[in-house]
Amino acid sequence: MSEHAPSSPEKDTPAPLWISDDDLRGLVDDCLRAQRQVIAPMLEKGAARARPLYAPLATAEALRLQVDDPLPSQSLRRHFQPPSQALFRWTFEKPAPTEDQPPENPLGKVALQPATPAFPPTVILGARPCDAAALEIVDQVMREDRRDESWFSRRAATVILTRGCTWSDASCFCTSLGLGPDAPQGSDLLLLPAQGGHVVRVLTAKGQAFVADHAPRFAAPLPDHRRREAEAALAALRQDLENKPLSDAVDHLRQGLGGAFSAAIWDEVALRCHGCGVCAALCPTCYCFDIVEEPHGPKEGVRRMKWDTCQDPIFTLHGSGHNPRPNQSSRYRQRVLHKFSVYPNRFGQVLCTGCGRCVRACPAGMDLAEILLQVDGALDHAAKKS
Amino acid sequence: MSQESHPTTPEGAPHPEPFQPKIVAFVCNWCTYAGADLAGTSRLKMAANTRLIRLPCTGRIDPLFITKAFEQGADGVIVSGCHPADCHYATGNLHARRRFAVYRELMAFLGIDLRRLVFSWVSASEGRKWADLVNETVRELNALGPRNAYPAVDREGDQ
Amino acid sequence: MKEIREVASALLSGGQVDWVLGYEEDAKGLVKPAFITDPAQAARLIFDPRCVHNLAVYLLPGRRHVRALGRGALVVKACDARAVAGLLREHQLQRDELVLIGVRCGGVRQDPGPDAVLNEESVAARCALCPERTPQRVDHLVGPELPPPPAGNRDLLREIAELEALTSEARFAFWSKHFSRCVRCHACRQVCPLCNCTRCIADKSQPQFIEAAPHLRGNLAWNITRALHLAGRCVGCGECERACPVDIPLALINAKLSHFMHERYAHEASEDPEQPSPIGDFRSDDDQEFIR
Repeated sequence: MSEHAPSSPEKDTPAPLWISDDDLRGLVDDCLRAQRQVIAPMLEKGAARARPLYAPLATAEALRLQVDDPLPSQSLRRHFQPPSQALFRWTFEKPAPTEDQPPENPLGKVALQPATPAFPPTVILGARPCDAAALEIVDQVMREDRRDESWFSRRAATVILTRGCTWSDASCFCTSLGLGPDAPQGSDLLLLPAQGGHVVRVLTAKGQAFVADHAPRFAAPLPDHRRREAEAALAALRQDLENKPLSDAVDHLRQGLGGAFSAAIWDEVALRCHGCGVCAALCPTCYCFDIVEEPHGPKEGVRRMKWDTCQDPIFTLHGSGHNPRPNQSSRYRQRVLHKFSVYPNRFGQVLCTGCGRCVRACPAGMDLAEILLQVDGALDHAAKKS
Repeated sequence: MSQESHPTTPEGAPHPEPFQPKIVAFVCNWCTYAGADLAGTSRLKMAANTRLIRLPCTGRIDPLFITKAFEQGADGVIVSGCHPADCHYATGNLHARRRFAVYRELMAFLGIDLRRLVFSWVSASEGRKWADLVNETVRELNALGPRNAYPAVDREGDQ
Repeated sequence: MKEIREVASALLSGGQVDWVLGYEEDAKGLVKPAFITDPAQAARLIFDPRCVHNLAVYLLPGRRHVRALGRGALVVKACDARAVAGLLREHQLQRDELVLIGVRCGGVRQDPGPDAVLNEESVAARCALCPERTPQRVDHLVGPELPPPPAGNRDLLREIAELEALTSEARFAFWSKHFSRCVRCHACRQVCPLCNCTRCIADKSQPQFIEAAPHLRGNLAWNITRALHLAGRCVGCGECERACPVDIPLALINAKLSHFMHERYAHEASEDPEQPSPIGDFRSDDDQEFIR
């Protein structure tokens, strides 16, 4: 099973292609007919407002090509790490009656049946670059020590077509993390919206194979003025997103400068925080999980993996009753430093893609970008300069 | 996924077996449990589908017990205790009465068929009432069929 | 809001409180809770339809880092004051521990900004159900009398009636669809002032009464239990629904049970801490039509 290798756009960059809106719908149709699941941003009717989410398309007509749709409220995480996932089932097998020694365990021997999750071939069409980049960042922890086969099976079965951003809002900060509206990380094919279609950048071998499989859809020549139109829009957007103080703050934290851990600023920063975990629930780069046992009577049960969050008060609660992170201040500090110091220390990449969901969704108004600046401002400036 | 197997007639049409509902009955020790015992000692004809769970008082019943019963496979739940003013602990059943009313309203709102959730007051001397209640409930559940909507415990570990 | 700032500043400089918790707006125009400890900073405090948050939740004993700040003053709308009354009723607080700065309210938006306009599109659905918009039993009452909120596009009682008109199967399908999405973040619990158990039953594993994994079965147990535990105690602030990251219409369930408590037991969330909690109370003539 081939791993999803980090994209390297520099070597052998194929020329950009073009796909018209009609051909794009046709592509969806082709995939659906070939029993390939297509997941795309959708707008579901909600009680108070429309609910944007990544969901499977039932038909090609359902594909939304609007350029001003909101960011799907949940990231792609649940498609690669389901919120609840059975690991195995256990049962006790009654021993056959025998005249020899009595059975070790009167209940019998434990038999484990591993769960057999399905990994249907999938195309994610129209993912935001920040969401695709997140997958590549999380790949690193998923292959550390013990390879997470469930994660990589889903990665291998999925082709990711990202769609370049056409707007940003005050909560986006991807460029401060080295990403951007056309970031290639985690993407196999990048579609840049233009009038009547998309400019297509082929980014990986997997993307190239996908194009080859659907060659007629990508066969139309790329109109040069469309390419220039798309690139001009991107340049303008990148300029809007630029935030030097934030990029600097990210750098300082990443280098572990200024004694961030012991700074008193966290007590002040975390006052508002409810520890509700909405940030983690929506975050594309969060991956923490818990293992739970579901016995059904004494003789059988299921062991599951489920999403967990360091913001939950009992995340680090020991069996003894001691909790090394007993208050929201220590928990919030953990969230920020894990993402911006610890993870980059270990894997070279910050565990955040600046998608801004945590900022938009936080019921208490915790603004991560503002907090990074606030923390940076409180750090020992002399140490930062060294 | 898992299909119930029915013995078939030679023509291939399924021949349905009589459905035996699983009923969990939460009963108070002092009244209904004694009443059920009386029904037994009086040799009243009673369906055998109930699994009794004895509690000191209906006031002890956390509605979560009822939720768990449905979760674990009950087709129906009976909750029964002393008549108001007869509670062994004076006011336990009066507290319970309000709790049950709210729980029932909530379950109905969420779409649980209330015909599967039966409440009653059965005293220690009402053996006949208990037997009738059980038989009536089994008949009603027989007509309703096995509980189908509530997600069953996932024994295959698929989910 | 000049009055709030004056009161806050006076309380802080007079040493009556160590902190004032109210609302402020950030550079993007979003309103958020503001902890003010310096009288000079009281100028940050504002009040307008973006002030949707229920600040009473910060008074819970579990918020140790807030408690550690000392004695506090809280800016409260009427709904928030009813939540404080709930906490007093359940002995989570002593009345003399805090100062309440009540603000007269004309309704709030569904979101904390940046737009501050209140109209039928933006008004929070829960405001239509508010029994009393002037906070009672507060230490200071500020703000002008405001007209009632506009009737919103979303009518909770009508939505509840529409659901009740469906068959139970259709209703169950509706709620299953929503609860399947629940990821058990428990934000609904964390933002609720009345969810204040030191150890929530959902977090207990011996025994595990409520399955922790976010599948439909476990999610049903959680949501049923939480709704039930709030019956008669919920003040209808709507924070649970606002916080939910997967847009479950929790307000419908809580509003439904509040409505039931009102119809059946003449109960309404009040600012009187002496009012008995309806589930903890009973009357000898309580309805028992449903009991055979």
